[in-house]
Amino acid sequence: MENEKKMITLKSSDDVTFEVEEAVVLESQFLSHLVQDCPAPEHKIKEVTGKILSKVVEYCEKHVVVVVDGGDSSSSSGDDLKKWDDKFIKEMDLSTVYDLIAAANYLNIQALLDLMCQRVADVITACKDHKEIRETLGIVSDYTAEEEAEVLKENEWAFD
Amino acid sequence: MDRSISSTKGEMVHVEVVNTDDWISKISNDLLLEILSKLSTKEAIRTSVLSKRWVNVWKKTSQLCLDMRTIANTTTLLPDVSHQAAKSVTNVIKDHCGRLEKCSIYHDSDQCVNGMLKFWVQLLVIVKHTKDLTLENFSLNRKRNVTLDLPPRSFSHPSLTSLSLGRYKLEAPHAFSDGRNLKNLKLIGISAEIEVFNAVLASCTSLEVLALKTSCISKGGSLKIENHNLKFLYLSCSRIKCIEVFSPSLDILSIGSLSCEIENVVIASPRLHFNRNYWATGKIFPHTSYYISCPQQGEKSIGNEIMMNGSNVCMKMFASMSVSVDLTNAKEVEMLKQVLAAWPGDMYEVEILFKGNNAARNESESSSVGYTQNTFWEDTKPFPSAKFRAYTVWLSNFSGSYEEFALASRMITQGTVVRCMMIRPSSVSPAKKLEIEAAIARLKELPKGDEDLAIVKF
Repeated sequence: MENEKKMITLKSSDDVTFEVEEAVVLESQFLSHLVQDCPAPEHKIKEVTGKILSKVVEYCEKHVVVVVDGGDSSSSSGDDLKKWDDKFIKEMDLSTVYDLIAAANYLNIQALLDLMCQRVADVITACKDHKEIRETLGIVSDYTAEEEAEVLKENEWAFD
Repeated sequence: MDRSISSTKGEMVHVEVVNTDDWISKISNDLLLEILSKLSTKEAIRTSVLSKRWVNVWKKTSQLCLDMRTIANTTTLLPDVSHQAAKSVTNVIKDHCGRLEKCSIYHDSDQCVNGMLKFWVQLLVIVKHTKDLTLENFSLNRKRNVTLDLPPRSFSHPSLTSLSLGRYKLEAPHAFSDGRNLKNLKLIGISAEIEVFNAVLASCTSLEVLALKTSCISKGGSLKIENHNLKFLYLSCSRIKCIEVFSPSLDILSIGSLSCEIENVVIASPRLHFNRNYWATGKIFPHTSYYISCPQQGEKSIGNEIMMNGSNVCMKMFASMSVSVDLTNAKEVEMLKQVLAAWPGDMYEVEILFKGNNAARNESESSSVGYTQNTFWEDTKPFPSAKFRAYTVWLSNFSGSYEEFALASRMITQGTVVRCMMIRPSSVSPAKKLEIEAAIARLKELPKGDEDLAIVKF
């Protein structure tokens, strides 16, 4: 009896459904409260698309397994998890990363939010100057030449 | 949350298209700050020029790290350059307009002399209510540390709970007066008269974490640490004759080096009862004594946090450790495993003291975790990890219990202990004594991970 796992169905904004174990849902603070307060078998998450929710579920399923192993996981399983995380973000384009940042924030999954923000931070760090950051992240400057010179001058040292 | 970016369009957008679609600028400020929190201060400030959307975002970051060497882009600061870099530091602090959790400033000796440092401290503590402040003087070309001269009660603001000072001379303790709000104090490379050190410590009555790497100006004083809430204490003190520590809740005592004789060190801390004290035996290995205890539900373990903090590597290099642990408590075993697994490099010696054997067990605790515990010890993965090695392992207070035997046998068969395992039985009835002898005999029969390993009862 105790081995029977409670299953919960999550439905995305575009009606894609995911059946997951309760433990997976508990990775998200938002969903844990939702599941506790409203014991329905199915929960619609209007703010997240099926594509993004599938990524969220994939991440949470991977991380929940390790925590259950928890007590006796050797440090190598921590290393494995890190490798998995690295692969998980490497295969992702930036628009998915942004959507996942919003989803992780909304669903309150701090570890996923950290991972995604780190990915964007790494992209910024890898750029040699602000022009490259703009190019890589697709930011269009709305500064006039004078305004830009003003900002550059304000903290000159940061732009070497 | 900002919903503007979680649109269904995401499905059709490819990375090339993103470059013409500025997705990131649509993210809310809070989330942009999450991203900036993972950048250096310099990189964060750099984002101000990306577009108008970004111009003020960095000003709300919760941490600033201002190193004048980074600002000047050189390690030797001539007076002009130093002055200019100091001005940049002031500008950044003045521009910043959010809550400031943590600020670190690395500066030259000039700023101590010309009053700039005094101004920064007042701005950061009184105006900006910074919680965690680090000040470090990096000038090298002087024989003596530069004097840190601050007004009385400089560190008494209720918001300031953590303070770290590096490479100064303190002439008077008055900057610390009324320092009861400080919980965490690090004085690294600080020189002062012993009376000044003692007055500083006496003013900071709420300290939980204290690290002292100090040198006394006049040789031969007596250092008194009587902070009752202290959980962690690191000591590396030269030109000192005597140390007295009265801190009943101390969980970790870490000693780098002490210039005084062992008989002049009085440590009244009932939890830390260990047989090994390497720093006192003339060996140069730093030694840490760690009493593992589980925090109450919801509280964090200061000890565990410090031991797991990567910035304390100096405390661990080539070092030895004594640790007391209750093996029937799964959380404590996990904490032990984490600390050992995260140890950088090989450990010279580790003493594991089984603390459950002399005191009555906490029944509620052991019954709730007992089950997972048994399966835990049936596991065959290397403990604490495949990488960890200790030259000598001392097992103190050994009672031959199931868990102790499992721990010892795993360390022996998996090659975790390389040279020697010393086993000191717990003091129990003669009947139990035979049981312990039998357990030790069985350990000696085990196939050893390292052929030359000696197992000795002492």
